[in-house]
Amino acid sequence: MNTTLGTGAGTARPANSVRVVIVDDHAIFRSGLKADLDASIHVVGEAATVEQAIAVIVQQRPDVVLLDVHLPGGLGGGGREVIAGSAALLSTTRFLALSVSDAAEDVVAVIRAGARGYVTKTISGAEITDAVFRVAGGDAVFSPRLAGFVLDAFGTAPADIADDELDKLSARELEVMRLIARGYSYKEVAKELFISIKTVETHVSAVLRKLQLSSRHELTKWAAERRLL
Amino acid sequence: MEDLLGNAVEVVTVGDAAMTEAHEALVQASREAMLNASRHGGGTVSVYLEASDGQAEIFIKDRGPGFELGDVPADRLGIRESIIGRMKRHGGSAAILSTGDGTEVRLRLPAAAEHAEGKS
Repeated sequence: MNTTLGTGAGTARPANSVRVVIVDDHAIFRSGLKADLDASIHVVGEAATVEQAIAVIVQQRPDVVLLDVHLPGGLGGGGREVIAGSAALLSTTRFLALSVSDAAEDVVAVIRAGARGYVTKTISGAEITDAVFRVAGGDAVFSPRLAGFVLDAFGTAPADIADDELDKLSARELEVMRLIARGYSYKEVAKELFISIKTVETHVSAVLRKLQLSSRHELTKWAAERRLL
Repeated sequence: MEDLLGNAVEVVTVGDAAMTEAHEALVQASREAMLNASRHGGGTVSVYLEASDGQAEIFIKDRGPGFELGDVPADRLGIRESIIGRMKRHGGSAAILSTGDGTEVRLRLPAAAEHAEGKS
């Protein structure tokens, strides 16, 4: 699960094009998404179930997998199970979770399985293209909703020195998450906080890492409880 | 709201707090701001609510062309009354930040505000 974590720093956009596999159980959504993506993104495979997804990912070894959180098949684990089933490829293939779902439990589960980000399906073609390049380059992509989940799960108070660093967000990370939750793009966050976009990316990657590695039991408990609301 | 105006509205909420009468005003003010954002703004409207014991904040952001508050005709009361006035009457505050890239309405209601004043 942690094999991709070190790669967030250096790489910018991959040279020319990005190879993508789309995993979603609705054919109409897949073709719509395909049509919306920029020409520099090549869709090299599609899948509608957990089994199909793992097979096509292992065969195609894409740069990025656009992965629906909810999928039929397998053991019922959906997107999380697809990532677990392709774990050997996590150093070269990045996963971007895509969902209409509000269930924090499911979203947190795919992120903790190794996804580099989460966006909602209302995202525009240009935005998703940007997100694909960002994830392919090793960065994390947080939608407002994921930022909100993070703030809710980790709390909105900054870390004390005494806290385990994985269990709390720093004051700066909180600021970045709040702005993303408010709908700010990375560029707008950078401008608002007088920092570079690269620094924003670094903060977001750090939060992703905490979300993936934090052992605090509250995270899972929180997500499970949130589902009941 | 989405059905009413045809724009996507993305709502993100963090935290929880007991509703008071002042919170009702906060909700009404943000409703007005969301309507404005959908009507005059553009693109996806982002709404972020953060509630804690100390205060409640709501941010409403659009990606429209922006505007100058001073350019709004004096007889248009949506922003002055329904947003800024309403927040003030209930012990809160409202700020509007508008640029060519969009507008953000920031509403803040301290928890103590419910005692500051009663009905509007």
